[in-house]
Amino acid sequence: MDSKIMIDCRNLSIGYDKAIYSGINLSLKSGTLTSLLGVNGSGKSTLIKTLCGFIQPVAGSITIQDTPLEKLSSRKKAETIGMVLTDREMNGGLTVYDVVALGRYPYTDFFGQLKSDDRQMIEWALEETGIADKKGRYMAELSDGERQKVMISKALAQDCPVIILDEPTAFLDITARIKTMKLLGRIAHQNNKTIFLSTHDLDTALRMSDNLWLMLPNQGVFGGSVSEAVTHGWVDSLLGDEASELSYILDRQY
Amino acid sequence: MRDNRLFIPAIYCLLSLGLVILFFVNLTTGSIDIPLSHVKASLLGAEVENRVWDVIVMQSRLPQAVTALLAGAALACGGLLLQTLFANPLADPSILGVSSGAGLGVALVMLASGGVVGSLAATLTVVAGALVGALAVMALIIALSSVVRSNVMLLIVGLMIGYITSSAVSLLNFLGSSDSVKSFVVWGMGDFSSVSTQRLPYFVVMTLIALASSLLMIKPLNAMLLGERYCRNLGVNIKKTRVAILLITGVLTAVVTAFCGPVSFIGLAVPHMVRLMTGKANHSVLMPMTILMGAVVALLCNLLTTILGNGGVLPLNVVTPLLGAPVIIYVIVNKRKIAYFN
Repeated sequence: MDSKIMIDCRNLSIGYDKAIYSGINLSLKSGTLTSLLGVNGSGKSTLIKTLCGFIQPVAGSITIQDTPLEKLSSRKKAETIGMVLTDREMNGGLTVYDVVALGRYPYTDFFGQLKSDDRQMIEWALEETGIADKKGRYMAELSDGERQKVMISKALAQDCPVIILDEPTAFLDITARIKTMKLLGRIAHQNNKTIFLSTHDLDTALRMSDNLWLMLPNQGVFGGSVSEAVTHGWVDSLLGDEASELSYILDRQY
Repeated sequence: MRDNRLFIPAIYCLLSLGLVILFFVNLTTGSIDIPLSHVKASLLGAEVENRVWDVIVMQSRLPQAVTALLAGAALACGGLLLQTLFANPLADPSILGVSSGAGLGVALVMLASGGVVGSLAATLTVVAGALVGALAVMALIIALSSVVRSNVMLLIVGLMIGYITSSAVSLLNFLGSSDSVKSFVVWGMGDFSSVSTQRLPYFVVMTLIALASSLLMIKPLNAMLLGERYCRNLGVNIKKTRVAILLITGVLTAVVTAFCGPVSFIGLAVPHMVRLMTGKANHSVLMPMTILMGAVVALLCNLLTTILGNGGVLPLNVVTPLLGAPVIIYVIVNKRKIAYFN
């Protein structure tokens, strides 16, 4: 499948009032899974919020499929970037199907009526993540891993070329983490989606991502393939003082 | 999951049937019982032998039943809107102090005008006063909700605002003339019978517009259940949606409060009754059924005020907590088992 640039950051500075990172020149390609790594408070969610258009860049530009992000209407944005977050509000009483159906929000009419192609899309999205057998269950009845699958299905039903996930593995146990990352990798490769996620889980990110972005405070945001990230020493910088202990493990792997 | 294909329509049918029956029982029951055949004749405008009965049905009971029906629907709908807006299943216009705000507006207008009500201008002034009061409190709550993150704390803040407005109302009463105080105190007990035939059309039109507008919010309301960030990601204009929900709730609460007094518990309890009955949090079922259920519950409450009144009529707020409070206690006790709480 041909891989093209979906999101392109040029001289991007991010932050709320003043820039916490500047001069970010990185891009995300279709059909790839990219993990964003950084220690707590390094600004991962600021970057994610900026990429989703929730906060304005301090300087520089973000273009999505050759259109500047700020030029996209909220509907077009909704059709381009699907988000998966760890927010849990009052969705416990919604069924899995209800939640995935909300992914069709940008496409349905004023009353949110589902047409047959909407339903097909929802069924497909449920099958893709393997949650279809639970579609009648309440969100409240699901485990954290299953909830995450539902939200990924929602993003799939949203039919966006880009899916951005904020710490999708944060509340998951080790097996669920690996399964979720595997699933995301498969979705990226099979459906030619651009998948970008933030995570603390270095090991899984190194094993299962195509590319890594690393946020190093006072140094900048660096991106490249996993092996580049290791050989350039970015991963070491991320780990700081603990790097020497872990470099042994990394050397054996790469 | 329950098989909802038959289940939901069955509940709709049951509630509609209950609504019709309760409506007619409300027309026949009172200090004098009037036979159904006679009520029917009066309603159809046929010649009836008993003119007094005719007057009672057409001038008193019919407007009261229509008022109860619409006020119940409006209160329940307002409760549901606030519960979704604040992502808080225990939110409600009366708990958050919105009704008291409306009450303060009404008190200011009533006491300033010396308790004169009846003319269109006076009615609209009272409604406007209620609306200003309701919206002011909601604006305050919204402002505070960005500081007070905890849902329970926000409810307590709402209760406090309610107390402050009540104390302002007491002060106004202390200063007001005895006539205006009496009409305000009677208003404060809650009553579906104070909407006269002349004023009824205004009440009906205002509530119907607000109810219809709330039905138009079903789609964004569902998205709001996912939380603000998901909602924005789905392309919902959060600011516009919030303002629309606030305005609709403000109108619903203000109109009902202005005409019927502060009616407690219907807004809080009815959405829970519907969620428990249907097992649905999806507003495409929840919203219309809450409106229907609100009408049924209000008609039932209205009927109980006459039946339990033993010749007289009990204040409405004697009955509504008896029906509403147990539901809320049940919901809180079973919190962990109820899906929509988790």
